[in-house]
Amino acid sequence: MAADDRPSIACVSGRRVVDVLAGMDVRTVLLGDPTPLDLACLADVPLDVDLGDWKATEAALGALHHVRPLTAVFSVFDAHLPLAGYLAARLGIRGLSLAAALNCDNKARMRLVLDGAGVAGPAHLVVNDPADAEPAARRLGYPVVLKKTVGARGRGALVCHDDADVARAVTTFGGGALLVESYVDGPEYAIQTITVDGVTEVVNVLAQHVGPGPRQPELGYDYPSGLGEVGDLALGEFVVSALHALGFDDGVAHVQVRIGADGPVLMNVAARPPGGQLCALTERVSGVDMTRAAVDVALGLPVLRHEPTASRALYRCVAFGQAGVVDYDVDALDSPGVFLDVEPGDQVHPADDPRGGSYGRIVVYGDETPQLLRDYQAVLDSLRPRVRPSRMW
Amino acid sequence: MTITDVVGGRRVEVVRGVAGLDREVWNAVVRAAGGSVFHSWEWLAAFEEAPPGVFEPAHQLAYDGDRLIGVCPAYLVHHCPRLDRIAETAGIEFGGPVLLAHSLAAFVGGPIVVPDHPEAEDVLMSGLADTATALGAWAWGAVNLPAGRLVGRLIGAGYATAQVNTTYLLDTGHASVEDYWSTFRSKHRRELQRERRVLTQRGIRIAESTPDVDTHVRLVHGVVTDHGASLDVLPEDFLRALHRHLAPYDRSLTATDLSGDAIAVFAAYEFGAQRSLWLAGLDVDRLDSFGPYRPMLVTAVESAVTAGIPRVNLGRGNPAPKRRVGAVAAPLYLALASDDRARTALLHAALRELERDGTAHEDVGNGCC
Repeated sequence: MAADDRPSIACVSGRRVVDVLAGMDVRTVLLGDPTPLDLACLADVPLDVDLGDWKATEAALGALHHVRPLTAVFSVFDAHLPLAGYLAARLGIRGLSLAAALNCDNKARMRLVLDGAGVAGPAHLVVNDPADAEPAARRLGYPVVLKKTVGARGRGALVCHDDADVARAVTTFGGGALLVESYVDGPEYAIQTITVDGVTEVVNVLAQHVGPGPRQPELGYDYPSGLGEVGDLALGEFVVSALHALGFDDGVAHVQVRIGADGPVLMNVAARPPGGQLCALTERVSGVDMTRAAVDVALGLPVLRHEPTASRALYRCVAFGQAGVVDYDVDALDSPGVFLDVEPGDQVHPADDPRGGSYGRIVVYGDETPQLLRDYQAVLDSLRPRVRPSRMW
Repeated sequence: MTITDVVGGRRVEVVRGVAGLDREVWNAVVRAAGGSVFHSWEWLAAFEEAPPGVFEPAHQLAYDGDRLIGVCPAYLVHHCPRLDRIAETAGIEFGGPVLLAHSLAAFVGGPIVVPDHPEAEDVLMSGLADTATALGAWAWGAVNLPAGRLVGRLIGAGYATAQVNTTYLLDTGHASVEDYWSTFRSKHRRELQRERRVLTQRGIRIAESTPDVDTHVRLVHGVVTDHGASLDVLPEDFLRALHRHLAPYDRSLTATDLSGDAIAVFAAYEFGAQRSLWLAGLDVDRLDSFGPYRPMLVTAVESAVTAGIPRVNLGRGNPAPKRRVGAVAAPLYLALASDDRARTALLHAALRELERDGTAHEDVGNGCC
């Protein structure tokens, strides 16, 4: 019987990563709390641990590492990026630096680091006691954005225009440390990056559409960004400097930047592949599968690349203008590029409602913008998403 | 110990006690740097004379040629009740002494530098790391660092950090006391005026004065024990040493009753452009609550406005009345590093836990200062 000499990796992740790892002939230790049964069947070693107990997780993984050394630890879940960095550091193996993971996880830390390095971010104040939020907002001047410093997972930011909004946001967040930021007005961009040994490559720049209301939900993306080659390059350089300041050494990132009155302002860094259908979009227009890239970087392998298959993409989130019960023509789900998270009969909230947001995505690819717009309209016409007002609301 | 060429030809000198520091030169730099009483020579002298724990001084001094351009008080901490409490909450055991700049007892720590040499901050922190290695420290760092670019640079450099305290600052650059009062909402103004009247009717008088040291210790310890905190964070000898050494800067407020007995005190010190209300004391046998607290806060602010002091540090804990008189929260951070990746990971995990817990600084802060 031949010895198992496959590279070995520990990860906290979902189905997509497990599939990628299976296709790469990599021995996989899958950490879960618990590990879902379908994924446990696919991993070489499913390891059920309390992911909130870092010391216990270290002990369990350390025992496995002692018997069969691991090459790397990584995660694509925001919540577990710091744990992966901690395990890599404690076991002395590859992985995103713990400091970088924490700097991306905690928004107050992120702001402090970027400030310290002279990378532009919104003016901000950190408040540990929610009662200090209103004085902080008044000090910065309205409008402001209130954020949970940790654990927001994309739903913890609310735009506030007055004291009453702040009081509502504080109640919504329900305690914990808060970041109060000046609101930055301007177009937003999403930048995908790969960093290897501290050297960052910008994979692509997307124009991001942001919705109305306190939550400012994502409503869509366009590729190319519309900034032109020079504009993309300048934005890329800004992002590279930000990731360097945050201590990014090995990993992929999804970065959001706004161009304010005084130039680019860093809004957020997620130290993982982008969500939704942005990985698929990036693979089509840039020739890089960001999930596979995350694994390649973790293992110290060259990032796999192929030729892009489209030069333009139009990505629109499915959102609604009112609350109610959703309906659409299900046959349209067979069209390529249609992804819905709701089924007919489900209840939805409007995009500008704190409970609302995106309920699906429509993505079309091509080489000419007019054709993209026609394709998008055709998909939309066949899907016919609609909302029936519900008395419950 | 002298370390040269730390950054850009600057020199860092390490001095192992206040006896080796020129008091006037040191204090002049602290004043020029905008520092407060907590960086003053006298504070360090009191701390060294009667430390609340086991500390070895290792103060850092940055020079440009012969000119002192920045200072960073620091101690190799072998035992500190406040740090022990933080370690316990964070679930970490330090594997040896920690070189800390400088003390959890002070409202502010870390390096301070003259305005024309901002680079000296990094020089001093670099010197601190070198000194830690030379002294065999298990870890090193700074405590009660105000939020700002230095904290950001330390986090960027890989220091583990956590917010461990919140202090409340009040800008007192008002033209007059009446101007200060005009910043209040009328409802709050009436409330405060009523509280003052009630005190007056009860014969309680608030004045800028310092009680004798025995009374001072008794009142301060009264509050500490009343909050269920241990006296080891503010031992009697330490309070007495501070009372004596900081006398030149004393701007304490004392509340007395009809018989002239001191029933409450705010131990306050003025150094440079800042007045700091460091400790509160109360006769817990005669008062079951700190009735004079808010009127004393307002009196302290009025006094600073009248004296032309631009900023008052109202200290840690008890945020509601401080907010009511116009103070704003200012986070204070602990930043720790080591020269070992696995050990630094432990520090990160511990300080993350501390910040998630969110009660460590309340216990230490509210109970004592």
